[in-house]
Amino acid sequence: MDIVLDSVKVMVLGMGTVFVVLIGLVFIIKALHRLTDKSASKAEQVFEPAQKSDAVNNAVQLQERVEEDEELVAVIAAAVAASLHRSTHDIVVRSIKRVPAITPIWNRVGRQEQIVTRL
Amino acid sequence: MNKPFIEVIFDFIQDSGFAVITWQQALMLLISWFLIYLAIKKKYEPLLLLPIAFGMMLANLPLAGLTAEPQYEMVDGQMKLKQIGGLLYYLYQGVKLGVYPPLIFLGIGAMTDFGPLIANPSSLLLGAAAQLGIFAAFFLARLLGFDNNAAASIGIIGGADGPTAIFLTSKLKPELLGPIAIAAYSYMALIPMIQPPIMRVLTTKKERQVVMKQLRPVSKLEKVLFPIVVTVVGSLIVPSAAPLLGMLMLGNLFRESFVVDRLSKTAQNELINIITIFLGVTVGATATAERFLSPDTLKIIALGLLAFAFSTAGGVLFGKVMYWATKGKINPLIGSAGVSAVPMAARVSQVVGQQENPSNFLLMHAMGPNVAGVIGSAIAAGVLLNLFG
Repeated sequence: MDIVLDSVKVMVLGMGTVFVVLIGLVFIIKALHRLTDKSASKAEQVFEPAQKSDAVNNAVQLQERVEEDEELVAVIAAAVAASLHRSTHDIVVRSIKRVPAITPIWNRVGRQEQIVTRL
Repeated sequence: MNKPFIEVIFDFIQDSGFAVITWQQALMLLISWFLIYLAIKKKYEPLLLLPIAFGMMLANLPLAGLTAEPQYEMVDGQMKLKQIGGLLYYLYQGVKLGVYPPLIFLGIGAMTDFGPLIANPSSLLLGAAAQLGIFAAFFLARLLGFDNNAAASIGIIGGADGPTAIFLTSKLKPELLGPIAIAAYSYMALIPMIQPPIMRVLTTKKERQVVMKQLRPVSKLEKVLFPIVVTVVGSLIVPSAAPLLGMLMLGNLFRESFVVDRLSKTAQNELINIITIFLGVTVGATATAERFLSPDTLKIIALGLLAFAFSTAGGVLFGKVMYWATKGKINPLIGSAGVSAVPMAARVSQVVGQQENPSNFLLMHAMGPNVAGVIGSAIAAGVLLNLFG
């Protein structure tokens, strides 16, 4: 009987604490949202013109680089065509964007080592 | 019962250096091969089960002495090293001293996006409700005659969180580390089989079909403040949860701050992989024949399953409460994701929801309770550590 009572106490205490802490966090997250919402709306107003000018700059840069990129477009289109087993005529390249590498640096170093030692 | 016999054989091994294997150890080798088979062929949490199973095999090879403690002798009143001890003994210190699990949490933090939780903070309640299994299993374990420390260690299996289970057990009842880790990780792999029947029994078809509103976008500032606030609040209320919670949130801050990309990537790749190897092998190595082959192991495996079932039920039932409270805006199926097996449990919610309504996408909604479950089980472990540690 003692065991039952003690264990029930532990259950109530344990579940109670878990709930209290997490309910506390619910309120804190909501408060955080309210606080950051105000500062975020201000920040957005400030950043908006900057974003636009960025976009314009990018467009200018892109135009300048179009001609250099033609070869790149040809190469990538050919590679895509080859891997899809289709003719290059079926493929229209609208834009090419470089995706930053997501593999960690250690993996990249490892890969390079493999290439150097084996090939 | 056979202890003198085992001891005699142990002495014989030490004296002669001949490999003499007991039938218990042979049986343990068979079990470890079976676990290796499950890891490789059935892909049951192979990242952990494979090192655990291999560690188990190593620990039960009688001559290898990989888990041997260093032995000292007194010579002229001075301690001198007689035997240096086994490799796994030294690696095990990271488990014994509670170093590895928080480091694993660092990596998990760096991998976890708390965005869905911040967008829908009430999912924290589901993460809390799904800790029911921990305390229900504690209760049952006490009734079955386990002492407080053992019962708490068995209960924590219901948190469905491997590192937390290992952390708590290594502090409260290290003898049970092997069976508890094996039960926790095997059941985590079996979540897609354990949860759906319970979820279907406890919910109506109408509840399962609820489509939830899309989550709001979360600002970067919120994501950066979240780990800091959770660490401070959680650790102030339950100080013994601080190692797990602190490391989890440090990893998350690495991720969300965007200024320490290298640290974040190391934490979620190289570091967590290295620690996983050490942790798996040494935890497996605690499952020696004399510790593992006892009726307690079977009880632990049964209680672990019940713990998982109760946690799932706790989450789903609380999901129903929230369904009623919000007048049908919350799908109770996301409650089962409150057990912290990330992201497996959330995927189960998604799959079960989609069976009822193919155009329903619950995954992101279920990620909220899922990551809340990680916080919840860390806090539950802290409470148990406070009570019995």
